[in-house]
Amino acid sequence: MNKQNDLLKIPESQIDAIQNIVRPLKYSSSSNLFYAGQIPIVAYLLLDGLVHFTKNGKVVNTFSRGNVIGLKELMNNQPVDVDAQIQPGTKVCFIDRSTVLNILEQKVPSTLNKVINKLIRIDSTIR
Amino acid sequence: MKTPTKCEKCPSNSSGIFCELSSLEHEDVDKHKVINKYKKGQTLFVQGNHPFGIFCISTGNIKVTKVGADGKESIVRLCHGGDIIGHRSLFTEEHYTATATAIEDSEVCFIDKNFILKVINEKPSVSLNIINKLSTDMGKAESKLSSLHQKNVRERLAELLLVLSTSHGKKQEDGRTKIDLKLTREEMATMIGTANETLIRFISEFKDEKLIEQVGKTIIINNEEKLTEWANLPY
Repeated sequence: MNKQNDLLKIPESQIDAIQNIVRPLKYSSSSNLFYAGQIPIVAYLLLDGLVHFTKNGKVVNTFSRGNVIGLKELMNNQPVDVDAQIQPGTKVCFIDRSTVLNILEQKVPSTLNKVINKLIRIDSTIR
Repeated sequence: MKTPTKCEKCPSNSSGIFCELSSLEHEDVDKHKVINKYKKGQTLFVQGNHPFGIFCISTGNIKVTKVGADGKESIVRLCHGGDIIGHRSLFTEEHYTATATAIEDSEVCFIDKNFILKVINEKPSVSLNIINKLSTDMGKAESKLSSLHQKNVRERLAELLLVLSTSHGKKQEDGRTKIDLKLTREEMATMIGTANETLIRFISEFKDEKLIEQVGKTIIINNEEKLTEWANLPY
């Protein structure tokens, strides 16, 4: 596992905070979250299981619990250069653009606001 | 940072659900949407996945398919510029009951559930446009169901060609209509509920009768009047 993935990890307390806003969902089968060249349509907070980033069919990175992927790309209309494949049994929270904008527009910034503000500056595809 | 295409400049804006919004309201949609290009064969969503918004097609063609217990795929709907997809599952809070795949390079906008529900609550024109699209889809589904029950394969094929001519037809200078959509024989067969071989046989019959012409995968309708007769359309 890539050590730089820790930069995309959020603290346990903030995982709970996000779960209070968006309902977690479980994927029963493998599926593509996004393709290379596309902007992710939502960001994903991993609660359980794995998401693989692949390039030309090869796994280039793997994410696990606490990782938030696709946030910077979603908010900056920035395409990713990898495919993201979610593994069967993986539990995720979908964080859509409206939810992020609501968090960022808070008049009194919460810890979650600060965490999101930090994550928005980090590429999901760092290797 | 890439600047997304603005809704006001979308080639399908006039037939889309946001067509009656003001410039300022369009800007709000622009702020919340994610615009993506899907290559031929890429999926927008897969049957069984969770819906978290709607997809508005800007350009291109998308097929909506269902996979049966036997693993066979059938096309239930073809969507093009101005159409929306994924809205039914969004409102019923069910998982997607079908898969959406680009049948050619397409540009599609995604609008998240929170935002679209807010817009529906605040803008009656958007709600009415969605109801209009749902009603049109329901009408097409009812027609398809009755055709499957009451018509033979030849009539169903004639009807399909007329439907495609209305939705994807381009009138040529010589008066003929070119269907600007490249579907495989298998895809066309699933749309009228028949076997590949049967479809091929009837396409040959239509060609022999000079009703249609084929250039590669492209179909050109030569005689729409006769095709309408063959389709046995109700008045």
